[in-house]
Amino acid sequence: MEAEAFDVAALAPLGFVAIGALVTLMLEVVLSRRAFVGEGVDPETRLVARARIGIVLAFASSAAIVLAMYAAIYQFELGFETAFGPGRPMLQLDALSTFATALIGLGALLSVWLSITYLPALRINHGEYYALLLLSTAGMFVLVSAVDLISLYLGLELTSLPIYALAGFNRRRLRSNEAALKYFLMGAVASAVLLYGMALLYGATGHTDFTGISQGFAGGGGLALSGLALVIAGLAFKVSVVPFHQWTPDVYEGAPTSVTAFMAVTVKTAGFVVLMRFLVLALPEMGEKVSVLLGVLAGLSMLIGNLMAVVQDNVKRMLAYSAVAHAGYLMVGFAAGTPEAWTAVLFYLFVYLFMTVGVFCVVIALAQGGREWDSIEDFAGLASQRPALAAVMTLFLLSLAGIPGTAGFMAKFYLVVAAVDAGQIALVLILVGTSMVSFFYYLRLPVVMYMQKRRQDPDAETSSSEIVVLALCAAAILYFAFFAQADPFGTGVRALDVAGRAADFLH
Amino acid sequence: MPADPQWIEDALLRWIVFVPLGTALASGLLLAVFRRTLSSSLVVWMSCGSVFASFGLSSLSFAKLVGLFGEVPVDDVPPRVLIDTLYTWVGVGVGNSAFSADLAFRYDALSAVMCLVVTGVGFLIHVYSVGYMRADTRDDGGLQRFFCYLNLFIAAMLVLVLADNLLLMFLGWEGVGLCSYLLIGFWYGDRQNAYAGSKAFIVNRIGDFGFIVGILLLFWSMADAGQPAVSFRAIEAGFGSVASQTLALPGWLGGGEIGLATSIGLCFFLGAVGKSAQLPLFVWLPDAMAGPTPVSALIHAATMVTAGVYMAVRLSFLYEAAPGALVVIAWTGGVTAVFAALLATAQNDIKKVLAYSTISQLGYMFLAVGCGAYAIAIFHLVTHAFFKALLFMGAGAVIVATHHEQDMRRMGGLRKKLKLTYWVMVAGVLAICGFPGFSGFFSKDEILTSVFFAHELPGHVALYWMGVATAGLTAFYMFRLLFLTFHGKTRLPRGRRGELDDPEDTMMWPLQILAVLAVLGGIIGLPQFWGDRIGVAESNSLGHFLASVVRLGEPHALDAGVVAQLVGGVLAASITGFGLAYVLYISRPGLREKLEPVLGVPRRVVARRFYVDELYDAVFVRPLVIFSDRVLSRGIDAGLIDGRLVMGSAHAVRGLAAHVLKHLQSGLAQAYLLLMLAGTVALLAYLVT
Repeated sequence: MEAEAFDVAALAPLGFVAIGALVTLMLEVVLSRRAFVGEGVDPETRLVARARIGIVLAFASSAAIVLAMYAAIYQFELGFETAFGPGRPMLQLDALSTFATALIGLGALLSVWLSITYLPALRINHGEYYALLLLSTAGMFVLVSAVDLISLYLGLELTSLPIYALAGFNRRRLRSNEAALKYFLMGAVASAVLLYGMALLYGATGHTDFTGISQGFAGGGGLALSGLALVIAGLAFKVSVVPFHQWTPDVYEGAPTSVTAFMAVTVKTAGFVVLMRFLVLALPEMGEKVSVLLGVLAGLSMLIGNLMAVVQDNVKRMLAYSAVAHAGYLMVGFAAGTPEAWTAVLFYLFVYLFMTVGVFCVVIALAQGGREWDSIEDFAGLASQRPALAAVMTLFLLSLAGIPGTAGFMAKFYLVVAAVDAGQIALVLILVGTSMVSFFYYLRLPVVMYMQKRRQDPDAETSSSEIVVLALCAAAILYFAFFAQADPFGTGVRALDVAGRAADFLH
Repeated sequence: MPADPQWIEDALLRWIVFVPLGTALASGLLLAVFRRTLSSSLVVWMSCGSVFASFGLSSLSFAKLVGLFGEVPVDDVPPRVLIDTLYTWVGVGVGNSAFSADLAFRYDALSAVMCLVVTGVGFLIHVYSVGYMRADTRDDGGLQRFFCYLNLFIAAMLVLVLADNLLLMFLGWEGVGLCSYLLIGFWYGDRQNAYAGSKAFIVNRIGDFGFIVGILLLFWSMADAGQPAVSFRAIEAGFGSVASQTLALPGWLGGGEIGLATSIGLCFFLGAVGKSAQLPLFVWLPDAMAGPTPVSALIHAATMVTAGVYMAVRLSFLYEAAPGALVVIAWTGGVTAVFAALLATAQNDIKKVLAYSTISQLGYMFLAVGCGAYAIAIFHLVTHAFFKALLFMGAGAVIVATHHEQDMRRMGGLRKKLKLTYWVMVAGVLAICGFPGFSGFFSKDEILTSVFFAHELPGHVALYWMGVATAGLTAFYMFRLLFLTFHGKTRLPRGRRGELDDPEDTMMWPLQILAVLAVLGGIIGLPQFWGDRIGVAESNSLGHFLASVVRLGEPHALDAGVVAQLVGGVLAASITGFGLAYVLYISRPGLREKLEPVLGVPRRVVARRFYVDELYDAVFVRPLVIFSDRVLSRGIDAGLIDGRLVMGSAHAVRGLAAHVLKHLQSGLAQAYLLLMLAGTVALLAYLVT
């Protein structure tokens, strides 16, 4: 793995979003100076000007992300494989990282589109939003290609810090402040735990790079194992696995929904990918013990996530617990730990992106007048008023529940097959059992939407950017339900093969 | 049966399914998601047009397939199957559990026949529906919904008959069940209709359970033998290796062993019993008449209910290895035929008579399957589709003309008003009764001949006589229907007698086409014996066509004497039935009142359908309801589950969530941190120790 000293092309995706972040930041300053300096600017004009600036910034960020995604996909196509770092590789650019980069880019792109009309609707249309979002995305790009504890930590912090700010972006709303503070506090502790674990690992093995750790780890030893436990705990926090999940509902509920959507898909993808890489590279022969540990975390997440989701009255909160449950499903793949399981996990993350963004997009499409419409009663009778919105919402929820005919089913199916082949029968039983529980809360919304009378009457219209996102997500969910392994349009791309190629690096 | 038929890829097949499916989805999505109603003429043109296009494509493929038959075989087995593999839907696992399901369609002789019937008769019924649903004023906004369901049904039925593997077939199987449910309850405003739809769906579930178990049993036993397969090609090729295996029966079934093929065959047959409304699962079909009449004609007479027969014939290679299953099939079919015919004699609702008649005729088809006469079962399936669709649609014409009167006791004398309807009904009645030369004559005669010669079948003589008796009963109830409806004096309420006339042309010309088919349809499978009489070699073209898919029995040693005996027996029975109907309903109607006290009890028993519904109600439904209500609902559900488990578990969950977990989820950051640290410590403790 002897790398060139500085392969700048390898860092193209990272560069694009980082530069994009700076550009949007500057652009905001320049544009608002031009719009707001001057006498007698009435609030109305100010609002319109702000909305215009928001659109410009959203376009700039989209451009940066699209370029980054393009670079990542290009690298993936080429089978790009290089390490970045003088002498000692810090970042590893390969199929897995480019795959994850493209996936995170897609999540970020869709989140940007979600924000265009949502931020004005909540009257929080401030320019730094997009810069923060892009910076966090850059952090995740670092995270997914990290092969060293140092770069891992750097990436993690670069990911987290902007999100703390984004979670509290609705400054006038107490919940949002609370979310930001809690997330920050928890995150700080998790970081500390992670850092401590890293220190222990370094102490035990004398290495900070994953491959070095794996060599030093061979003997095991209490110190190394302690370090491993703390690193797993720190990363488990990021992907909200029980018992490190408790921030999730508060933050998901309190944060502006576009931020929730962003972190729900991208942070989860980044967290799982880095955990995957760490476990496989640093612990090539994952012992029975680690596998059992991951299995217990999976089981707990599925149980607690699904059970707690049942009793929620707020849609965003319910989706937060559902996210915990889905983290549990993904951990089943980790407990299995076979190549098929890694493929299934990556495919699951891919599908999960569309369902989650879609669901949050519906919540966003309801928001207006400076307030969210996110309690379950707010959805009552939606089908009679906005039938298309209710229909796609139902589709997303069915997919989250894993009903055949949706991509969510295929994702779960591959996961279950891989887990069964790896002999994780108990976990599969929990997965199936808790999935049944999940029908209750997923199907509650369609029941409310289709079978109850409309109570409130928000006359918001679905904006064109939201329509694009919804249509894309719905189309993807239907498409991958039938063509997960097929290529009907002769593009030469099969989703599961792509995930398989990304996971291929790991063994 | 060719050993290993090769196949030819043909990408046209998918469009046979996709055209009606696309139409259904488009209009359904517009209606359900976007709440847009299309103009009724557009709906009608789209819907009928798509089915006609599908029919055209089926015919094209048919021509191609026939072309293959004409080719001189290069080697022993010429390709006689068209396959359209779209893609591998899912393929996972390795070794014995390797599992790969293609989305692939198969067009062989059997699929071809079914496909042409489904799309051809389906198209005629679509056209008929245009008139029928226009005449129907109960539901004004539902035209688009109706045709959406109807097209969806055609698509699902085509998936069922074109499927190249069991999974896809099951998809179609469930799809038609869904459409049946939706269409039975089409006028869902009436609680009875919604109830009938649910009943059909639930009773079919019992059969579907058997189907699923059959699929799994077949898949796993073949996977154990190292040949996991779901496609018919692979199953047929590899089935030989497991056919001779046996399963040990559990002790409570008396121990012993049962052949694997037999048990798989019986499981699949359970599915067929549900779908094709055989004893003991027939109870849903009469109630299914709650749907609009074109639905009864299309789904509950001509196509969907014959899916069970199709499936049995499709799996004939399996049943060949399972003689035990064939005996069960033959007896179920025979008993159902005579039983349902008996029930039909006492019905007063014109559609109910036809419903029981359908059950009875399906019994005939299973009787043929049980004798190993698969091609003949399909022959009867085709002719039955013609004449039963005709009869149903004729009945529908009467119903429309009399403004939704279905009780034959309030009809009578319609012959002079509904002239055309009368004559097409006469054609249908003669066809189903087996009037010599009409389509039903040949197919029914062939079935009885095969039963007569099925020496290996236990009790085949009894079955033969049951078949003959059914023929007699059929003649009786069909002519009873004809006489009650069209002859005698009109018993219509005074207000409705005025402007009675044949319905509009869009309803009448499909009827006339079907009438021609019902009369002449027999020529497609003209038995060789009759072919010899009129100097046609190889007259049984349907049989020869199907020979590429199913095993044809040895030709029976027929001489004129045997044929005279066979035909004579059936004709005698039919004429007796006709005569009885004529005497009772035309020449001496007074006799009925005299017979009433004598026949009172048996008549009431028959009229109440041998109390089967009541029996099920008492044995299954009521105890289930009581059990559900008292024990499950109030005891276990309300008490244990709701009280303890749901409220308990919801309480426990809620309580757990609200009291324990919520305590954990207190909203207090320090509590969160505590749990996090506790988790970390637990992780540490576990990994380090």
